[in-house]
Amino acid sequence: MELHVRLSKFIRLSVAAMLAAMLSFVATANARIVVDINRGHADPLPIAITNLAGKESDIVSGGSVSEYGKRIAQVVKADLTRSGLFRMVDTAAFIKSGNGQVSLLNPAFNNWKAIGAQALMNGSISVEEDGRLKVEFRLWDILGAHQMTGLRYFTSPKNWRRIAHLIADAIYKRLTGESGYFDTRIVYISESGPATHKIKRLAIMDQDGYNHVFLTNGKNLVLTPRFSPTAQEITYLSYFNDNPRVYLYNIDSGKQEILGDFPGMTFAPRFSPDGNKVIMSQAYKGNSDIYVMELSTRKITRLTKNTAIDTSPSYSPDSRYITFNSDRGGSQQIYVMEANGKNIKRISFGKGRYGTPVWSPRGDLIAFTRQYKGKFYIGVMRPDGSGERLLSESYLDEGPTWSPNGRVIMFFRQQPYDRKGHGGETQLWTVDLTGYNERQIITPLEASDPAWSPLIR
Amino acid sequence: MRDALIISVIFHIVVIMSSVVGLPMLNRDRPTGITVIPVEMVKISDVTKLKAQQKKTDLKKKKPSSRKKKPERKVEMPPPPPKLVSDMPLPDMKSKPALKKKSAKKQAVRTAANRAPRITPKSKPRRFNAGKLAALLDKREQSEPDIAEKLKDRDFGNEKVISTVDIRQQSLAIADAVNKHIYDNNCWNVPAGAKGAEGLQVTIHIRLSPDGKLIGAPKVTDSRRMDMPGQEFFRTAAESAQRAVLKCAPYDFLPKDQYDLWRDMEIVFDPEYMLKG
Amino acid sequence: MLEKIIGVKYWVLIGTALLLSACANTGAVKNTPTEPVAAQPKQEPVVAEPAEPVVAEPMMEDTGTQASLDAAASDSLVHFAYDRYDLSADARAKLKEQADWLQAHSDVRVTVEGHCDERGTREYNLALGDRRANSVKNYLVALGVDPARIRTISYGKERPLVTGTGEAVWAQNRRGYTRVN
Repeated sequence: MELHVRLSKFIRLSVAAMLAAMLSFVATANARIVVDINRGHADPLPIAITNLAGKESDIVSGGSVSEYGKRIAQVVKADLTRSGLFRMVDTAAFIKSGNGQVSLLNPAFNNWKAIGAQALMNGSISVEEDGRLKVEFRLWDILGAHQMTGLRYFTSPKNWRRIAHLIADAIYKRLTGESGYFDTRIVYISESGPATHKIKRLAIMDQDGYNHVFLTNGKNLVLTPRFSPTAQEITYLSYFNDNPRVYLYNIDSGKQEILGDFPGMTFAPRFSPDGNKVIMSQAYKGNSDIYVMELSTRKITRLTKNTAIDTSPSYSPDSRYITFNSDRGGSQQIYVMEANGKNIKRISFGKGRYGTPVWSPRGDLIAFTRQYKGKFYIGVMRPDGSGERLLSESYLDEGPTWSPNGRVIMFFRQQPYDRKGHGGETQLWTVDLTGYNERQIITPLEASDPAWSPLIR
Repeated sequence: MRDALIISVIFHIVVIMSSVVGLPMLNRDRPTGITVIPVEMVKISDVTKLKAQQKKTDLKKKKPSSRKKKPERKVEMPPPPPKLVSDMPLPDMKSKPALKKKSAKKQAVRTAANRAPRITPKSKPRRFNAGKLAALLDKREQSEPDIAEKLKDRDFGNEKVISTVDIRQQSLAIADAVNKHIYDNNCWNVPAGAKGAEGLQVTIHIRLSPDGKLIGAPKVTDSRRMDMPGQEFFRTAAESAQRAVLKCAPYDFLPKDQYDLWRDMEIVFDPEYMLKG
Repeated sequence: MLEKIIGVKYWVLIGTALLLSACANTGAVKNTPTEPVAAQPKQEPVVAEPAEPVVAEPMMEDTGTQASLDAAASDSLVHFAYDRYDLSADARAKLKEQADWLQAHSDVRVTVEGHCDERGTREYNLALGDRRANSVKNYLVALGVDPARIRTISYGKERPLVTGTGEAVWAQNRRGYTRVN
């Protein structure tokens, strides 16, 4: 019993605690009872999402307004469900029976409470004269019987998915206190063909797998794409002309350019948090070290000078530090150094090998891939190496990337091959920081090397 | 030895502090009805269980008359368990000169008991329940049978004075029951993954009617912080706490005869433990 | 002809998409599938001319081929231990065969590929593959081969020789391969 533990600790008494307790006892001899609660449940919050009310008779391109209201609600539900923090309360029958709401502005709180909902989203959708959709939603606190937030959007019908993601983000933010991550995109490597000759293409999609587009045609091997902080550019590795180098891809213009004129292979690129630099490795004559390039001036600075493999660099969100992996200590481990390359410190000390460190956008954790006894794990640790937690485990999990709010990690997972050498499929997965709620992201083909965009502004 | 020294130092400090701060009230009533309660640390849950047992077995107990003035009784003090000391606040001013290292423990016990009447609730005198105590003692019997035996023999049943400890035990039992109720009914959904969970302790003040219903909305004591920019995590934590209290109402399982104790409660929700895990 | 029309349509489509994306400022994905090039090359649809019938004629054996090197030097392969890039005695013996062959074919240039098994992270394996390729190159150079004739490239774990699970499979994939250009 927590309380008991507290009390018996208390009894072991420090002078200060004792004094405080005594004096407060005098002062509050008749004071009210204080109940300490530090155990709770981490269950998803039951929320009811109703279809946005709209007229059947108003037709816009792609269907009736009412139909759009349903679709938007579906996407909001899917987003919130996938986060693992919400449980959808079934509303269809309830609404039909008339129990659900007196009106949009006056939900029947007690009825919603009776079916277990603690929050409710309702709203409406209509079409403007210029053909745009007007979408409104309100979020209600059922137990407290008041409105928590409400927003209105105008957009063309073809943007309805984005509106749904924006609504889901608003609900998520209001109920969890942190930013959502639904209005985001994923750039990744789409894989097809036999493992010995995989065709790999750069592809981009919404965070939920929709709006999927291939960016390259698969002629050249491409790897490890990463978003710029504006989500307008991607840096990645391409084997164009059998010459593996880091490239920059502008999503708006479709333009691509090679970054720098290095004699050796450049790889493992990543943007700095301000987007003005790209940090990467160069492998030259058998030695890999870390370099940083100023994008405006193309000035290159070498940060590590060591015969070991130094690669997979990632900036801290304040740009003051860089984490990377190196085998300078004999095996692949994670290190942190200052952004100028000084003060290199090893932070991973567990058994096995540690690689692909990626600093969380919140700054409080570093995600990594760990290999130990024939298994691969995705885990997190604090930047000083303490507090290591493993979140996923499989035959091969690799390449974590953070959701922009630092709550969810996406990675790719490769299945083992069977005896005949078949199998080995790779797919994208997400897991949240609790280590629960592991989910696969559906992609048209096999998928690897995901990178999560920042929130799209 | 070292413990004794520490304890002694503590009491010296306490006594000095007390005299500085001034506790005039302590002099007002001469200690009456010294009730010695074995302050073996009882697990709160034991008290709770006990309560449940009593409900079945202990119905015949007569309500003792509430005579206020009691002749002083001399009760032989059983050797206090060492732990006891810390739980006994407030030495009597009068005993200050006498406070010496070696007598610290005993002194503490006696003085603490002395001041018991002072904190007797003004409203109505509380019943002292010997059966309950005995039942509690039963639990101790295994470890320290002789003490328990001694205490059993004493006629506590005629005591009308509610001791500090009794109230504390009742309070703890109530707190425990509320805690358990909120946990068992799955009322508190801890806001997950909030950054800086250390600062997210939320205190909710509730008022209850005698039948356990909430009077008014549960109030966040630091409600101003909820609307401050950058305090979204606190707001989330506070709202989760409010929802928990609302969802778990009514609190009609609390002992009716102790309404004074629970009409006004503070519930502190601390997500730190959950979020650290 | 049909292909040509499709080709034209394709370009029109891309053009339209680019135009559209220039106006749109929300939602729409503004990308066209293209390959990275330093300067955007003008791709032209290739129209295959009807091929002349090929007449096979006997000719002198070309000895500077991959097949020749493969035959002379254990399939042009050397293998490495897990997470290692040093050369075993066996690997050195095979590289001696390669060096001899290279001395005998002094006009041939080669690319040494460094490969890894899948039991490592992608970027680390790229670096490790580079180490392996350079290990091979350095040894060939030490045996007298002109370094200008040897290029290196790392494929990390991207091009396994065989697929499967287990040390026997992985050992085959941890390799240096000398490719005749």
